Amino acid sequence: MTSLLADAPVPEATEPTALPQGRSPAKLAWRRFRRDRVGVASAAVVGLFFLVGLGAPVISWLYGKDPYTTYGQNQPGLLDDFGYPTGPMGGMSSHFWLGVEPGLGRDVFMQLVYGIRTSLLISLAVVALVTVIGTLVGIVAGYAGGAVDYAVGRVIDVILCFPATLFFVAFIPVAQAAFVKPTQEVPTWLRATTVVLVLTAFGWAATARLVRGQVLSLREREFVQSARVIGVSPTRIVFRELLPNLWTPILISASLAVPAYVTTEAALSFLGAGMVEPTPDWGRMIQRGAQVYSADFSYMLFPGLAMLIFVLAFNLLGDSVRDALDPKSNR
Amino acid sequence: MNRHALRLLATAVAAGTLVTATACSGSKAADATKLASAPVVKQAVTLGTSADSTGPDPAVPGAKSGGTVTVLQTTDFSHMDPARVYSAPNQTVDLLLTRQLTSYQYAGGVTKLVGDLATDTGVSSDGGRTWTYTLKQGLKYQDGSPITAQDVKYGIERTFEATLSGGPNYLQTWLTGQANYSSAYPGPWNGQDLPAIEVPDARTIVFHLKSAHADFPYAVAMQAYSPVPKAHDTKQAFDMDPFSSGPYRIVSHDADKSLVLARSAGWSQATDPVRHAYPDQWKFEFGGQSLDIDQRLIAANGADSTAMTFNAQVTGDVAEQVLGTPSLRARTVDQVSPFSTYFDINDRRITDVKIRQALLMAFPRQQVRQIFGGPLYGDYSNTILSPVTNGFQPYDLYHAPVTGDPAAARKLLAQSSNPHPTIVFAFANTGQWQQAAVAVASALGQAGFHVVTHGVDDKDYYDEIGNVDNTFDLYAAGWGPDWPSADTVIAPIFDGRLIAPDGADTMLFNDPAVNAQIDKINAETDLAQQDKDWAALDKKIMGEAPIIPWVDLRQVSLYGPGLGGVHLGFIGTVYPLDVYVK
Repeated sequence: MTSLLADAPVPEATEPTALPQGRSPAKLAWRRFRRDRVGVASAAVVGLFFLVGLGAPVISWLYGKDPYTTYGQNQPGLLDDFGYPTGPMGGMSSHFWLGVEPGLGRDVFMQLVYGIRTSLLISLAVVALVTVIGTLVGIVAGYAGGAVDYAVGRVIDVILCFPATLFFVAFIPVAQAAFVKPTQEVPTWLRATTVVLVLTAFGWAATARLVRGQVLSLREREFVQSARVIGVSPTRIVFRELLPNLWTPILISASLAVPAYVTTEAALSFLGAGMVEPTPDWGRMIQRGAQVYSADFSYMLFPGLAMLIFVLAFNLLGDSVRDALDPKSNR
Repeated sequence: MNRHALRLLATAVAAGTLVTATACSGSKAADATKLASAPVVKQAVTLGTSADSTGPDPAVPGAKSGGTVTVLQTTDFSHMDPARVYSAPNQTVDLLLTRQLTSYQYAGGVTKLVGDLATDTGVSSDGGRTWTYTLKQGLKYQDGSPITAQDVKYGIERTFEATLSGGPNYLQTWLTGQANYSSAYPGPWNGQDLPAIEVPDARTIVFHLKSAHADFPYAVAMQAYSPVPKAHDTKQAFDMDPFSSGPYRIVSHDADKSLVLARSAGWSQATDPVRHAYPDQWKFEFGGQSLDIDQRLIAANGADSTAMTFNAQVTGDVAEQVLGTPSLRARTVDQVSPFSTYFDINDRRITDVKIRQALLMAFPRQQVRQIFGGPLYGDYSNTILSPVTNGFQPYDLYHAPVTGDPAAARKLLAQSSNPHPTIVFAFANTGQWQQAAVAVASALGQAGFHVVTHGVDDKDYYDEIGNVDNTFDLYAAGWGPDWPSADTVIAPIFDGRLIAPDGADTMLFNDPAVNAQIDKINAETDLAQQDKDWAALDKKIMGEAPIIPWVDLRQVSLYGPGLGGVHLGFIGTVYPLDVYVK
């Protein structure tokens, strides 16, 4: 009994190095992260994207343009008869840094900047919800076991094998139509909320299964067993004994989920089920770019590049976070 | 033209949307201007004399017989049974397989309606209610048996059969006086006879209509009213393998893959004033996207040098290459098609004419056209009738600039019942229409409208705007006349008594004075007088601004360098009748 109690519930990942130097696990992780150059660089890129997204109105004010005005249609000479930018590289100039959009003639730079906002806000909201719901369900299922675990497990199975993308495309317009009369416009916040809710409805299962697996292995460990034996309440076991050991996988899965949801959101818009005109959106820009690429390649290039860089940086950041928190795991 | 035609137009519009990319970002503005000012052929169709009807069709200069023409189509023809043929590609293939009492002769750039099976375009009596046709001598089917007046009657009787759906219903309605004509006469398959058509002998056919129709000669030019011999009526199977009265017969038809036509044994050029049959063989290949067809026609390798397409448009991906390369440009058909597009204003919801006029005044026609490809999409229109219609009179009632005039619209709104009306703009939910909605909302917003944009699922668009209780105020629609008379435009679209679910009066316009005028014009027996009155009625209706005229569509299609005599026909497709292999 004493020997069991002496086995302190310290997160096992940091145990071997933690003791000799007397540093906290968080500090150690931070130290490892700082040494990872790729990680720091990608963190800087991701930070820049966040900054641009949050500061979009400031950039708009400094730049003197907004993402909604159809400059090309208002000012003659920017677009030719067929609706394509007249200047080189999609009409790039000192006035329009990344050119103008074919057809409507909106500013591409402003569309991109405001598009980041849309993508980030939606994906962060989804990740937050998915992580909270997935963690709770996973812990409950893993800790309770038995019939509860079985029931939750089957629900997760069903959700994971559901053709989610098809469902999104079919369900999102229906959900929006249910709330809004045809004579009214679907408000942007409602569109965003629908997308967030539907993505969450299918997203939590993966997190829940991951957490359940971790809890299952932790549940039988000595420190949990001993806590149970001395009569600690289940709530306390979950929050004080289990959860601190789960932060690492949760954090890693969340950081990798953000870029995944950015692309999912873009894919939905690409398929016409996500954000619609006039809300700026990367997915829709890429879709339009794919239609006009032979005549105006730069309109596909810039949103495509922006998304590539963002997703790459975020994925690398996720990897670095995992390396820092969980150095034993093998890449 | 019914829903099928609307569907067809939807396809035409969809095809048109592909023609978006033209001037590459690197290409010069001069190129673009040159493309923009490409000439467009527009003309009305007059009635030819009996001398014009005799045949043969005046030879195409430089044409010679022989060779094989390949036709590349994205899809197989949905119907070839004349009773079921209505859409443009189906009508076009039936040009090669059927003959009608009258048909359109295209010679030297002029189109005339002439007698085809008949010796002339018809003789009317009884105030335009009785029409008599005499058949030419020596008319034969593909097996050499004679084409008789009884066969023409039988062919028309077949169109009453409920199972042979999809075709036009002009003659059926006119002969029975009922919109639900199948209840008056169910068709010939159960041995019943249609007394409204008399056949006194094998070469004479007399039609007794319930009301006067001076444009009857145009109606019988439709492929639906072709002769069918009773002995060869295979009922539903006729659709796959029709018995030919035209210059070619079907050799083989592998559904959705290929179709091969060879010369008919019975057809003779001497009796036919509208068809040439220069090639020995036609080979159709179905499947493949418009882009594949374009690329094959650009490459023109081997047999593709004598290839063409009826209706596959030059896509955006290759438009710049095709229109910028003189050798390719030389082998394109580039003409305005008979399809007009416009924006309906829901007259039941917007009852104040000042608000309708303000909408017309503020509407950004240029901005929206630019999204669909600018001048390549079509020419601006200010009228209901299109230039391909007889009696078309160009006029501009409102002098609204194509970019919209928000100031003038504001003035009109100030005089109206509501200076800041809410307008629900409905559109098919495609990328381009979503963009168009942005342009519409922005321009109308400047004029003081509060605009609600409402995307409707692409597939349901025509059903939703065809709903007489729809809750939209402004939506795009289109129309193509079935023959070049305003009777097939103004009567179906603006006769308020015809308002019905999925009807053509999608703007729900109902003015008793206009309805009365339509009846009055239809009762006139002089076509020239009718044309004049239709044009006047066009202007009168536009005074009430039920629609915002937008563009008359344009068709740009490629053909192989080994072909001559290729041009756009009245149906709105590339015509096969004058095509020859060089």
